Amino acid sequence: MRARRPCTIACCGAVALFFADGAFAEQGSVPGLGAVLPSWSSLPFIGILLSIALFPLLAPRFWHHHYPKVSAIWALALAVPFTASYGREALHAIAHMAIVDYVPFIILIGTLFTIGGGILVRGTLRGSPATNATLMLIGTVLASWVGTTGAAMLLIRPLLRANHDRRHRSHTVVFFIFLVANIGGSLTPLGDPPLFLGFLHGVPFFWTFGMWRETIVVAGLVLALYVAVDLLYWRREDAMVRLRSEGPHEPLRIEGWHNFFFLAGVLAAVVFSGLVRLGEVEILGVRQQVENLARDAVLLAMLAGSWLSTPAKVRDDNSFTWGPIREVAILFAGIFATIIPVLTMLRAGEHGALAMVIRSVRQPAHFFWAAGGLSSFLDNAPTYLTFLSTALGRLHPGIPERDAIAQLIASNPLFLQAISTGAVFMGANTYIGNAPNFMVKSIAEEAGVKMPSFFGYIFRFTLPFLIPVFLAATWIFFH
Amino acid sequence: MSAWEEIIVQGPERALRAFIAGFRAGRGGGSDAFLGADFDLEPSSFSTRIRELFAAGSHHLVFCPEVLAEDLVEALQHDGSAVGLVPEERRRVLGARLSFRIELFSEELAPQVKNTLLGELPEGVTLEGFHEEEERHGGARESELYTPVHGFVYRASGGLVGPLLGVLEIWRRGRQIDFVEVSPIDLTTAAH
Repeated sequence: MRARRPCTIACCGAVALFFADGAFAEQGSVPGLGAVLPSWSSLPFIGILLSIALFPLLAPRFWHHHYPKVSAIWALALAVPFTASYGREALHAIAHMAIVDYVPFIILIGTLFTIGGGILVRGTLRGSPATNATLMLIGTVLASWVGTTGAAMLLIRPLLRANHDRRHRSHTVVFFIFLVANIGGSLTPLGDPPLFLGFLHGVPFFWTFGMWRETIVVAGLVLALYVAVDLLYWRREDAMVRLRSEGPHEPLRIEGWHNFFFLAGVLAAVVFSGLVRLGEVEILGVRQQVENLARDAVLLAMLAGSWLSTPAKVRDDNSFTWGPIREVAILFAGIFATIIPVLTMLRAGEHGALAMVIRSVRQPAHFFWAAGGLSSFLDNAPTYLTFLSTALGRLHPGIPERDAIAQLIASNPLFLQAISTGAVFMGANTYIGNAPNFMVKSIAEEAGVKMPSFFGYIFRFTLPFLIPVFLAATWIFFH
Repeated sequence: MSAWEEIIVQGPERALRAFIAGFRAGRGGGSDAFLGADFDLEPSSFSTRIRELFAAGSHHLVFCPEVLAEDLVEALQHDGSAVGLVPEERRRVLGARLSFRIELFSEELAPQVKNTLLGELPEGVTLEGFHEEEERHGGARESELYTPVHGFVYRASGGLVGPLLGVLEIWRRGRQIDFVEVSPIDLTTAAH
């Protein structure tokens, strides 16, 4: 009890600082802070991203049990010196990130995951190339509306059941990761976390529809490659497998289909929050739009509705748990805390300590490959924010973020397209590029599919199939 | 159980394959003879392994029953030189060994894989150093995103020792099962 009192006093003091003077800038980035922060203030951000990338590969059991502590350590490694050095400015920046970015982000991810986890596809299909390609196409289209994680969760088990008798299956799972767990999520802010973060920062909801050409070309090429590969493997299957199955057949049906209505509610709430202006309120000294709060309330209502109306058996058969949401909430708390100085420095442009980063990426193609390359190994949501800030720092430095994004879209939209597609598409390049990749791998392995190793995935699939497609996309769209 | 011999032949692989096929056809097609390259068999003699480091692909292993070896060597000496084939060394195969490793994450699949690989071992083949373990992680569920740990892990390893054909049979089984890794086959040979 005695040990807690100093901490309690410190927390109260911090809160008191807020209420003593709540009049800070809307955006949470105080003018001038980006120009004075040292470059090493980005170390906790780099540390947590590397932890998320490397621990699952090198020490999975340690990471599974101790990831909250690791996230807290990196967050405190930033928050303590940041607050000690810059006082109220730092606290305000942290509060702004939490209220405007983190909480809405977690609410959306949690809602989509809960709704997606309440939809279960039962039945058996025959894993022919036509069936597999159709499932891939459905998943790719669905990913933009239920999220890449939701679409992956919904379709991976039916796909595995359909291919249960096939000898060669790992290529199907890998291309599923490419298309459904990554590329498909590029058309709306609901599809992939980077795009929702862009939406929260001021990118209009329907702006991402403008990337339909890139999505169709990349998804179309990857799907065509998959069909060719699957046909090759199909010809090597046993004759009995290739013949129509005469065994027990369970008709296809969807349980929990009413959750699509909750999904429509989510979509309506998010679109609504982007179209109307209902004023502002102040929370802990941070200005938040009323329409955003209304959106989050509706999302929570949709989550509650889905949870209460879906039978427990449906969720059990989906292996639904709150574990993934807990993971996202804890890890992204660390990411959002540590990303603050990085974004602030980048938005300061040539005056910030990360000017070298801004100078090194100049053209849309550079942004496509830089955002994509880092998204391959680090989570794509913070990578997107980093390069968005880099672009703003390069092209529209020193002005409020929402205004800068509006100007970016009006005068240099190709940069934002490059960053968005790079971050979303190239999460497919490795197992650690996007959250659902590992989930799909685990589900497949536990269903008896021998998945390639980390480097096997890259050398057998990413390099020969994905990279040439991305090179083609660069030439077609960002040349 | 018939004894087998290992013959090291220098020359082009395609010519050797064609020669072996012709030799077998000439004997009515029932003769057993195969190349070591088809079964991940490495040269047993140290000198041949060193030679392979510097001139990979110049030497090949042929395995055949002892009763055929003399005739095959004579045929290679008599006719093989016309296509660049030269028999260099001949050794008796005393036995074979391989090691294996299994790792999988499905509780349902584990006994099936174990039984497919190790159930009903060929005559003369024995299992040695067998070790297996199961791990269960109560907190792990398959739907994790950032902290994936399998709820069930089965691991097994060991070695199989015995006559060449029996060990080859196990090697074939292992190669057809996704979650099994089999080592190259190690031969014990003696000079002819």
